[in-house]
Amino acid sequence: MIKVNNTWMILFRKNIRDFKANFGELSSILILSFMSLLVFAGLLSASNGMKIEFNKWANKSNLADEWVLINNGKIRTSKLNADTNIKHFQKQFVFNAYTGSENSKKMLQVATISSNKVSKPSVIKGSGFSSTKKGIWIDKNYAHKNNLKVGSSISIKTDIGEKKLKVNGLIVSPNYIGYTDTSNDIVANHKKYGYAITNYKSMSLSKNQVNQILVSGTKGVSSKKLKASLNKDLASAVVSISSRNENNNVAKFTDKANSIEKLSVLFCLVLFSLVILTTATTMSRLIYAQRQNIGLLRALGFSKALNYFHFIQYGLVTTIIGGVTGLILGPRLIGPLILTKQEPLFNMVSWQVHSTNFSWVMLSLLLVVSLCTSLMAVRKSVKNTPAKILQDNMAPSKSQHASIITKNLGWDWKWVLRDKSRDKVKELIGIIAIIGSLMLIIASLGIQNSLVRTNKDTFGSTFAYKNELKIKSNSPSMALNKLTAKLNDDYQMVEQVSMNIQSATNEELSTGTIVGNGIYLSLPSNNGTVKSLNDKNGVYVSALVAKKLNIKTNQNVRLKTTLSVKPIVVPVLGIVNVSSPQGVYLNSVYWQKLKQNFSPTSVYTGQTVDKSTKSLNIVNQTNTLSHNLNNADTVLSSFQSVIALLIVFSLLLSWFVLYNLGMLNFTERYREYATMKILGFRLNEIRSTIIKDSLITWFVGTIIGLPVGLLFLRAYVNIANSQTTQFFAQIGMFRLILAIAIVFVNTFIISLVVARQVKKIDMASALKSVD
Amino acid sequence: MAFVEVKEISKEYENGNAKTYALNKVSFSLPEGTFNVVLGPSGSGKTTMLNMLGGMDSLSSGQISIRNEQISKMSEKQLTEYRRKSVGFVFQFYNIIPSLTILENVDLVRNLNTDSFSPKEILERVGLKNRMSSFPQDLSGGELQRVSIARAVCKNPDILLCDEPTGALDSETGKSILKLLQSMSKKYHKTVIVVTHNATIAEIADNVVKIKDGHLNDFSCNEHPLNVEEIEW
Repeated sequence: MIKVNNTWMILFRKNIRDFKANFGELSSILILSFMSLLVFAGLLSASNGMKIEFNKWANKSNLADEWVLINNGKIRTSKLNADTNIKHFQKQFVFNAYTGSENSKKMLQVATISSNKVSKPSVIKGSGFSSTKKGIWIDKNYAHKNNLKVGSSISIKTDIGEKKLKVNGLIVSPNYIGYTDTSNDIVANHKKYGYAITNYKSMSLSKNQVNQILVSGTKGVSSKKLKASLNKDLASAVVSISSRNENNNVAKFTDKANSIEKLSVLFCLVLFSLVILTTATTMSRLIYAQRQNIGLLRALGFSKALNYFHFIQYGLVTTIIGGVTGLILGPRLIGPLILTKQEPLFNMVSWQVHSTNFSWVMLSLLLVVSLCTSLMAVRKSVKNTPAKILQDNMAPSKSQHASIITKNLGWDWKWVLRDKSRDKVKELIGIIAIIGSLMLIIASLGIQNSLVRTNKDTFGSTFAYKNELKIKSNSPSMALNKLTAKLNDDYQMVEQVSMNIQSATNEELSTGTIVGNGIYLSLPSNNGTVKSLNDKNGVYVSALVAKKLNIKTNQNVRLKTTLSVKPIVVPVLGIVNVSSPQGVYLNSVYWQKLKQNFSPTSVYTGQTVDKSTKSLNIVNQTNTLSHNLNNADTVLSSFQSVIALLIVFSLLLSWFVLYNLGMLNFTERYREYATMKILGFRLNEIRSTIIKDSLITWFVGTIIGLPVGLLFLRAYVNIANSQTTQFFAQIGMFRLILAIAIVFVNTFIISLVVARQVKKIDMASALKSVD
Repeated sequence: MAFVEVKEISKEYENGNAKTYALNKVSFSLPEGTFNVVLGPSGSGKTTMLNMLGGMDSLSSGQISIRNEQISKMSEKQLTEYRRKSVGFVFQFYNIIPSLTILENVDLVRNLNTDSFSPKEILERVGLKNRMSSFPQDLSGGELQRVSIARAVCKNPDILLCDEPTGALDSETGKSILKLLQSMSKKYHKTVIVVTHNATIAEIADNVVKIKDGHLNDFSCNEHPLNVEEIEW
């Protein structure tokens, strides 16, 4: 063995020069390692930041662990006081109030509280809450959009009358992080909807008026135990109990943080496979080009270990540089970008990215992956004897048999197909690259398609009204008749209420949509048929809720509302693919047959609503279908940056991997192409074999990639789901063909780029000996 | 009338300010249907000469004509057509495509020319009748060189250019290859030019072009070339 006193330095210098000489090839590993960690660390820092900031706020504000919806009435709190599982509880009376002029009514959800122990709002401006000081503390976003300032006064109208209150402070409440309003809106409209807190004194209400209790549990007590305790303490007064992950307003935020985390993992999986493929192909190419040096070093007596150490550095050092840079920049670039897109969707007090150590774990994993891939590529050469390496004997020498399939094909197809069958691993890498690329592009084009189509189906197909009039609950029938007459009897009455749905195995607080006969709400089932609720005796359950509660058609479920004396049992007529609101749908006639009160909260109509109708006393608000659709589109825009990233990645994936593979094939077949050139084959004839080679890989990759891509799209779309909204994976034929075409064009261009190398072949080299 | 006419050809390379000549004002002519040897030591410029004759490299000056056609003035496209139709190459290391069978390797060039020979017939002639469906990796060096010759002859070129065709073979196999080349030249009336450093081979040639340091050292015609069986190396 040769002593390596000075050798390390010499080899180090060689490596530096090799890095410079092969920067073009190595940059593919560099860029993809960088991007993998950039996106992963960026997305994770955003989701981690959301969680940390939420937890900080939850601790500081003593955010409720359980929200107990109770029948309005006098509650005996002695049991709650004595319950050791309960740290604090806070009784409140929550109601909807309206402000603004007759033509532009705005809604405030007001919580009347006597103490401020649980879910304490952050006061942004003005004084803190006081149970004795008359006035109101208003949502700062609502105040900002409606030009309300501390000290100004606001007039609120409720079912029991009108009150003029002084604005004591502007607040942000953890109870309302994801608050939109009571109906189907996906995104908050701060101009029209807000929340507020006040005290009993200001509202002149009796302290016995309670319809909600906020509870924070003793440390270490599980939600299940706390719920059991509350059910025992409050007995029949309980309508429903929602924990943090069941409370829509709060869960929307935590769901979003989780979905970004899932997205980072999903990205990570795809990008890691991308790095593996790129490293494998790039390293194979570089090592193939360096085989003479490897043979020489081995022949000179350098150990295998030294060879491994020397040559794996190409991949490893590049991955370290790319990965660490991505890890540092991800939380600084991608993280804030994601948070900026989320900010308008939530009432959050603070937005900050927080890096996590898990990113470093992923970097280590990436390095291990890169190391293994590089080792495998180097091993291919180093494992052989020096003589064999120097003989340039890289082409497989195993025997072949002419297959019946290739027998009748032209020489070029035979050549390409047999070459592929000789090196199946290399071909598999190419196919995986196509599958990965197609998968990402289908997901990129499909996610947009799915969200847009789901929104359009919801506001256009499921809900087909032109105008939605929100009306006061418990409106007298005379007032309702007056309204419907103004709508030319073209209407459908709807009541949306919070409803506790119980199956045999589980329960969930969701929305009950009770509709009168009409044509403006129809429910698409999962077999494509559309269900009307007219004259139906039973309920339809939305798919997401049905899945959560394990509900199937023809089973029974128990329903309970705040006004129910006892739960009612109803049969499930079917599962419906409704995006929003999730919950149960039933007909008002059937509801009344069950001895339940039907008190419409909305009226859907196909008529244009004139000023005089809007100004009717029972009309709180008017929304158009297009307004609701626009809201949904705002949510969609928050996905656009991620979609753009996906498209870029998918193209980079196929570019780097297929280009490297193409160049590796070219290097391996250099003498063959040179021979053909000398024999008199024209450039286009040689080019066509290269293109055919790529097209076969593209074809096989596409056949497999299509179903895999559709499955990936479904998984990706599911990430966008929340407690209240389900999105359905959809991709139109045009977009599917476009995805295939993008991968095809990319593959074709790469083939042409590789084929250009044929022109540069020095024909004389084919005649030279190799040893 | 000379079939191959080489007039004052030079090939120079610039190395900084210095000029290096791979070939320097070399002239000779060869008649059609003859077996010719270009002889010279390593670095003498014989492979450069072959590259010029094959239309694979450009001249710095001078001209080369094959059948009165000046290949030194041809465009890239015309040179491809020239190689396609007029030249058959035999390489030292065979350069057989490993993914194609022996028959397919020969058949590959059949369509390059309109009056090609039948690949099967040529393979029979070179003694590979029973190896047609084999793949290159199953053949010996001598057999592979026969495939290379069959491939070169199949498209019925005007001229066969052979670069050290026996360089990678033992003497017995080498002799059989030379015999084959000689018989191909006679049977099909092809002009064969063999480039080699092996002076023994010159004894079987009709004409011998000796090159040294880029210059024409000697040009001789063998009145009585030896039979391949008579030479030894």
